[in-house]
Amino acid sequence: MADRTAFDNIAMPHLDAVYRAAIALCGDPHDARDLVQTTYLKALERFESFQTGTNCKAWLMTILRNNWIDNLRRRKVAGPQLTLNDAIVSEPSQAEEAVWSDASDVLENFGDKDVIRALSELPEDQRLTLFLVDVEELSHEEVAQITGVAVGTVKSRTSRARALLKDKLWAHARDVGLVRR
Amino acid sequence: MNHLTDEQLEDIVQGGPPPPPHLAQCQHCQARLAEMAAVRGRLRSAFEDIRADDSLKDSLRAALDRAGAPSTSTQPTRKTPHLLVHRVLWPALAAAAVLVITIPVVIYFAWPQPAMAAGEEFYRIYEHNLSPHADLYAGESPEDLAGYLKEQLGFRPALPQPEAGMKLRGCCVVHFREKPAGSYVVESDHGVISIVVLTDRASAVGFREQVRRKGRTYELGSFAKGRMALVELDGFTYCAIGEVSYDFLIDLLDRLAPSAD
Repeated sequence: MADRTAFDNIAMPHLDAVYRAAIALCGDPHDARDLVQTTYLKALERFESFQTGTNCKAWLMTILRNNWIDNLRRRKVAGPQLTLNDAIVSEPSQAEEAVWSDASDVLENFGDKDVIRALSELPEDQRLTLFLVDVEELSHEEVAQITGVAVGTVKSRTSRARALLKDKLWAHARDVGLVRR
Repeated sequence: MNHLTDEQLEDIVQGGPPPPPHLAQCQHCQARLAEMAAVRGRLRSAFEDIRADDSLKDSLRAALDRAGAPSTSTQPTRKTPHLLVHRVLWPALAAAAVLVITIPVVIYFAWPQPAMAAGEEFYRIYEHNLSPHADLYAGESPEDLAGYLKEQLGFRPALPQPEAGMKLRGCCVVHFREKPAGSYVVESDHGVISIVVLTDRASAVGFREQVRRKGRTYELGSFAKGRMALVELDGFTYCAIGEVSYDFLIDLLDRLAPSAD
């Protein structure tokens, strides 16, 4: 039987990070809350297998990712968003090739919701990888363990995800007139 | 001139090994690095204020409590002297036993039990319908399914219009509160939905949340990952259950077409 006190002490402090990850994956707070709940219930169920002293946040993120994939499969959501491997790469565009000379200035004009929405439009594993690397600042090795791919794949995936995010924000900036067409 | 690879730039952004000398001389790579750092910084700041609120913390704690894992302290326990066992421990255990019996009884009568039980029961039906063991009468024709349910239950429920982007997988007889009820499974672009048809009034189910849409009152409930919306229509109560938004469930119920009988 899981030691609830130990679970509360070790796993609950990561609730904010797990919730942020769920928001990044789902894009919708309601679904994110459900995902957080199922993640923690499964974590409690498997807590005996958690090795004290190892990275609990990474362990929770692995459970979160697996739950989320289960949800996607269960819901049978069709289309490219189900892509769980690197086989499908986004179409390159002119904006992706270009370098923003004033990236920080342009980015500051977006609201937080715009940025999160753009992230939630990325292909599934790019989304989680970029979130874990950039927002949660996990190492490439930790993210590789969570997502079950090689470290090199994490690096290339992060790079592609960031380029695609920039691409999406760039397109949005042009639409709303933040940058010249 | 060979520019830095994306992987090399990733290492630099993450504060890895010292950057190659090329970076100091190449404005293009410097600009790429600055851009990557800017996107990273903006992404991080977008999530900066996102925190789990108190209601999420409370509902999570309650769910974990319900999961039934007893709290077992890791603190070492001290041996209790024999006299203490008789004078303190047994009376304390007796008091605890009384509380263990009394508290659930009080909660049972004080808590709106039907609503919780209904949500759980509907969710179990939904899960059973999804399982490979579900004994579904297969068919995509609404008339076939309506005929089957009429034969089994004695009434023809309303069924979703087939042209509304949905596909009927089949139907079966289930039991809700120990009474037979109709159930059919609908496949949609958003996922699989079960609809349970009851002869009870909607108010008897005991969901507490209500919304009004297009002149109808929908009652909402949830259990585990499932959401439920129910509505009364032509004397029957229809409950749609799925791991989708309430709006989608309500839209689906709104598309129920009364069966010609």
